[in-house]
Amino acid sequence: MAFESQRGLSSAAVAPANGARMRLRYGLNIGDHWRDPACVLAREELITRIKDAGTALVRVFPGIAGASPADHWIECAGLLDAIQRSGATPMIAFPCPQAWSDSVAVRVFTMQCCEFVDRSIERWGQSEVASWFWSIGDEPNSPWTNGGLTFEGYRDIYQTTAEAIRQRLRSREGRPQIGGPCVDGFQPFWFDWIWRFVEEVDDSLIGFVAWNRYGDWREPGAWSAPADPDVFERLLLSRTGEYWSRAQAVGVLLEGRGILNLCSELNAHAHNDPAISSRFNQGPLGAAYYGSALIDLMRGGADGEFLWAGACDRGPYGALDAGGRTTPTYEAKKLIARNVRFGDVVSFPLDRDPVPDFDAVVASDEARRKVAVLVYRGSAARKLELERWPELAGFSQVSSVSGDQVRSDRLRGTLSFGAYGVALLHNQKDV
Amino acid sequence: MSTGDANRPAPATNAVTQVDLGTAAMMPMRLQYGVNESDSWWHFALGENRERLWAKLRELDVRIVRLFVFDKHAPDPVADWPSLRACIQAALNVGATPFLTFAKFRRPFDDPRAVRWFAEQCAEIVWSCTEEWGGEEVKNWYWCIWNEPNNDWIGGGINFEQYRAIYEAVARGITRSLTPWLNGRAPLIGGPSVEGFQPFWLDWVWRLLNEVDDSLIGFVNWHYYAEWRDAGEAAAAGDPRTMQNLIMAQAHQFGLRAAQVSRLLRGRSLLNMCGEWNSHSHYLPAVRARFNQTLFGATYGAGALIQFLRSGIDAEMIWTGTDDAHGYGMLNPSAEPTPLYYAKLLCARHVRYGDRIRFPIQGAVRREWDAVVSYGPRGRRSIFLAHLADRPGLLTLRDLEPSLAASGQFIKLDSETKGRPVVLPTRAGKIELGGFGVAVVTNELEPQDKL
Repeated sequence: MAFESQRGLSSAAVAPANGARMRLRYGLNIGDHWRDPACVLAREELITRIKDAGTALVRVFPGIAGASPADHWIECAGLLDAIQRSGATPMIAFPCPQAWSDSVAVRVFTMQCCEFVDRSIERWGQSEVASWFWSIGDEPNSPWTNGGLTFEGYRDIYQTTAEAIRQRLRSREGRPQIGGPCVDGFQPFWFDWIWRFVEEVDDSLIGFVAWNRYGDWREPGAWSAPADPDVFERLLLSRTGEYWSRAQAVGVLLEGRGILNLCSELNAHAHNDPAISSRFNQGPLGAAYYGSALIDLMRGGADGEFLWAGACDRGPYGALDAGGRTTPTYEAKKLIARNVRFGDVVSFPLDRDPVPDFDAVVASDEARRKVAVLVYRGSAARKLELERWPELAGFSQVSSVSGDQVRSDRLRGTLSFGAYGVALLHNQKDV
Repeated sequence: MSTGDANRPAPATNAVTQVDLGTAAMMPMRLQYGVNESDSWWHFALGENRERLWAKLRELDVRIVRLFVFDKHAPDPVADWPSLRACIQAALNVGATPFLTFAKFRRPFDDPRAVRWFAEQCAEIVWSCTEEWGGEEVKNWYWCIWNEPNNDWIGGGINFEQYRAIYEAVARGITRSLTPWLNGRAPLIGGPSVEGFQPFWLDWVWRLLNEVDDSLIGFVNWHYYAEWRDAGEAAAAGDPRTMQNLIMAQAHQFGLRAAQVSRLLRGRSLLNMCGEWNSHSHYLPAVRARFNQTLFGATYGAGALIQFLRSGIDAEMIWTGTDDAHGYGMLNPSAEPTPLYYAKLLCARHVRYGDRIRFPIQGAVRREWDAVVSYGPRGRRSIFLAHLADRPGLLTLRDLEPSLAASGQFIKLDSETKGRPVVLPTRAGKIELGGFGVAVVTNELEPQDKL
């Protein structure tokens, strides 16, 4: 597994300053429609797309709540086979039961999670399954979806279930890769859940801490959001700095503990009506938002990210449609993930000399491969004179996300953008 | 007391654009210490112990005093100008620059006549100040428009579009009053004094900066408290000890928020100010006092100050200076200090404007400790520390500042010293605190340190 070889290199240690190692693993969520025939039929195409995008982690919801994993085990096993063929490591997500205060329901939930682990071990073997990630809870802090779940209730479910999973995984090296709570980042006290999770649950039961973050959930003009479309878009794009600050805030709690810091869901807009949020997630703006978020996650020292949703989502989030067709967000992900790699030395030249609406990361490795990713968050055409930043000089080519295509051009000293943009600066031999 | 141009600090915003927690190199100390004087303004301005209060604030090197007009029980600027004048004069007597907040009005926000009325009132107050203290003095004061507009309870239920219209009208009125003395320079007007609990608090800062004429903005002001709930209230942790530790863990938020605002200010010569902060803002004074006016509050405050210093922002204003049973303030009406006063005193005395500073605590240790080392003129060196954990902790001085390991003087503020700073001999180059606490190690002990 690609991920296995990366283990041990880092775990939420010192936040990367300029010149630090890149430790962000790229990932995506498989959306709620992975059982749809269209997704199943297009599976080979999806595998290729996931692999092409440099994906190390794939989060999937087997959907066992209230049902035995046996109910659709064959389909689920097929999906997990496909994920493994793509070279990625699965993260299995178990949302807490709605009847969280019913001890019988909680016991059944734990048994079902364990049955899923047992079946996985029978099919893929102990050591393989022990390398997977196991996530307990999905936005347990959100009063919209949690059925009144308290932190104490979540903690009890987590400890019981994580302990049972750990016994089955019998991980030989280090702690098992079990974690939570995948908090809803819109809630004002989201940090409480992370802090209490880390402080009140036995460290040996936590392999990672996960949090979700979207740029907005409101329709333009509703709930005090600006009605002006231009202001709404610019404001949305201005919020990618939250990925940095949240990764940092969580990172302080995790330093020295060997626990990974993961952004388990991200995208620009969380509204579930495609008429409202598709254009933010699936167009050029979504690509710029996601590219900018990735740079801030790298800057903040996060260990992993999962785009919501990579594939198998019929709604307004998917980076790939059911047939595997791509969006600009997917192309941005692919461009960045294939070129800014785990273990690269990274720096952020615009921190020292910033320009509004732009951000950049420069990545290099021991083989002297060097690339730079530039993100433009503005809606008007702009030019950037690259000689201003010595680290951005010396590249001969630029590859830019243009719609759902990437086009390559010879690079001269000035980089031009239309509305929103993600560009890779490189030399011919380095990509 | 003059607050003339020569003393006016340049914005620090462009100096530090990103917080690299724990890894910041040596940097200049450019934080102006400040306080709010609000609900208990009468004691501060006119009370029998006012001169003692001013002396206590001078010891804190208070350079900015934030005052309110039109809210927080502030004196009516028209009906009771003498009282407002006394408030402003008290701030000047402290040696500070007044920071006047035109908090709100209670007429319809969409009514152009109401907006015009408010703008004229504000401009009239500014003009009255120039008459009273002279335009050369008053042009250097700070003028803040509205208070917590993003919080319906405090700000009155205003939306951003309404706020923007009021801001521009008031700012133009203030500018008009000050124009004879500005010589083309922009007046120090700002906002939006956002409340930090609201999920989209930073939007207000962004929109102010992007939707209001640049020439009308001199600073950005934001507020932050870690908590407003008591233990067990509204899904907060029920165990008081958990609650305290959770609040303490959020001292880092000051640095992160400061950096987020700094990112928005990149490329602009504007000041970045935290105009209101403390640990707890519960609606009942007795509850918030347990957090703000105890050793816990002192430690949290020390952690906050270190974060402010690290972030490179321009000013902080604690809520509040003088306090008559409101559960926030550092000094009661008799000028008797709380532990937070002493923590701020240690910081102000040993980490001074213009010093060079660095932050030696890195890695996992920063969950329990935070510290700043300051280097002043004539070899003065000090370490100001906060111990953020409620269990015993030990640090080796050699790891923080080797030159102080052998000969530094140790000042401690913790439960053993009953919340007052006490000078003690250093023990084998180590600092030991029994729980939450604040300490200083310095090579320059002042007579006042020996309380």
